[in-house]
Amino acid sequence: MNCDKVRRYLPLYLDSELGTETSYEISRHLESCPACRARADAEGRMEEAFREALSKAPQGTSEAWDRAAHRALGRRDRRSWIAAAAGLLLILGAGAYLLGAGEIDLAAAMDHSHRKYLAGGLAPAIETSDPSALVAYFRGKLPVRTTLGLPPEDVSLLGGRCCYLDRSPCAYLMAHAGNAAVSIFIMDASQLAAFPEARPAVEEGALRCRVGPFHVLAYRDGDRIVCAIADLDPEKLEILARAISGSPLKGGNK
Amino acid sequence: MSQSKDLLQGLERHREALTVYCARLLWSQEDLQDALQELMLAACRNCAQFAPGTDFRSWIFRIATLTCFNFNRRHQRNDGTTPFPLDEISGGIEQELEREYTYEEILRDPAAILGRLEDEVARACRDLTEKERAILLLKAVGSLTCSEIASVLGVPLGTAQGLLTRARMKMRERLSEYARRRGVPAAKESA
Repeated sequence: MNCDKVRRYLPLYLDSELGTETSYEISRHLESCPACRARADAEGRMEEAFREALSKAPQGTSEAWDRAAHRALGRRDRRSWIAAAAGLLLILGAGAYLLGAGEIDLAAAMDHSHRKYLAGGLAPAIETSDPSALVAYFRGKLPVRTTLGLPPEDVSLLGGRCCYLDRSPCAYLMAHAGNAAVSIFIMDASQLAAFPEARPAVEEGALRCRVGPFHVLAYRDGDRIVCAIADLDPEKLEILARAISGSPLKGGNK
Repeated sequence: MSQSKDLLQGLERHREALTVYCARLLWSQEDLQDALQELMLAACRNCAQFAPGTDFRSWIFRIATLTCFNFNRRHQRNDGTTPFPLDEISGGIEQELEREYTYEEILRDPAAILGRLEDEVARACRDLTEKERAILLLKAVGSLTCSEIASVLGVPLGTAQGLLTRARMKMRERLSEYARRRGVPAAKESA
């Protein structure tokens, strides 16, 4: 792939919107072409700057939501909308009461990336079932120890890529267990500070919760945090997360 | 009750993104409160259609998009004005080269330049066509993938990708033009 073609595809590449093959070709090109690498870096910063500028609430809009909710409640036909009425009250003031596992910062970030993967928006940068090839791929790219183990026999390791959970860099491993897609994220333990809602549970042992159809697990393994999310039985999720990340349960349960 | 609980959790979770999205997609800021109200009511009315565990973000942004489009159409009918999409920036090859040069300058430090052009970013976004603006905002504010955006707008994936690319190009052209007129890169170099 030449420089012109790479630059044409850069925005979609940076959005992780390209197919695995094209994405891989561009990665290869960027590794060997400093000019395109610099361009990719600048385009990425430009998009981030656009995103930040557009995501700022325009002046005078901060109270519009609450005012709209008050008025929506006033217009409600109570007979047909009785079930949602309590909810609108919650939007007005006590919404936090209902916030469940899906609102925990780390679980929400994992859910976001996992859904993006399921929708085809995040593809592996390297496709391999060989843990040592993945370790070699991640070496030097991330500030985290990425030693890995072998997955259980009924689990297929598909590949991995570098990614961010919120703004924390991590190794992202994709796997399949039966019909369920599994996402495993490994980040340095220092990144836990970026997730104040999840931090207490992880430090006390593990974060275990549910987000929509997915079970979420996050635990500390020495100097790193291992996170896993899938539509799987929680015990099975933990067994495969510990096997793939090379962090078996104490007592030899592999 | 479980469905309405899911709905309300989802609304609460996305309230900031939905407010910003609607504020930037509506032609008239005066419609914001009414549009958010209609969005909440429409979400409640269609609550039964939302299957828990499916992609709530796409579902609610689709409702927000249709609500804003309806308000924009109403606005056009009432006062006879038409929202104008960005005029194609035209000119000779020299102007094209100059814009490319300016864009290269902007790319050297996007954050510093855009920090000074924040209002212009918002204006450039407002000058996009309605669909381009929706796509750009669904990506930037809603963090939706192109396939999710395609589903929100009911267009093929390729169309969504094409429109997103075009919207980004227009934003960049507009900002390059503005930066060139104002001498922003030159000002930065002399700072």
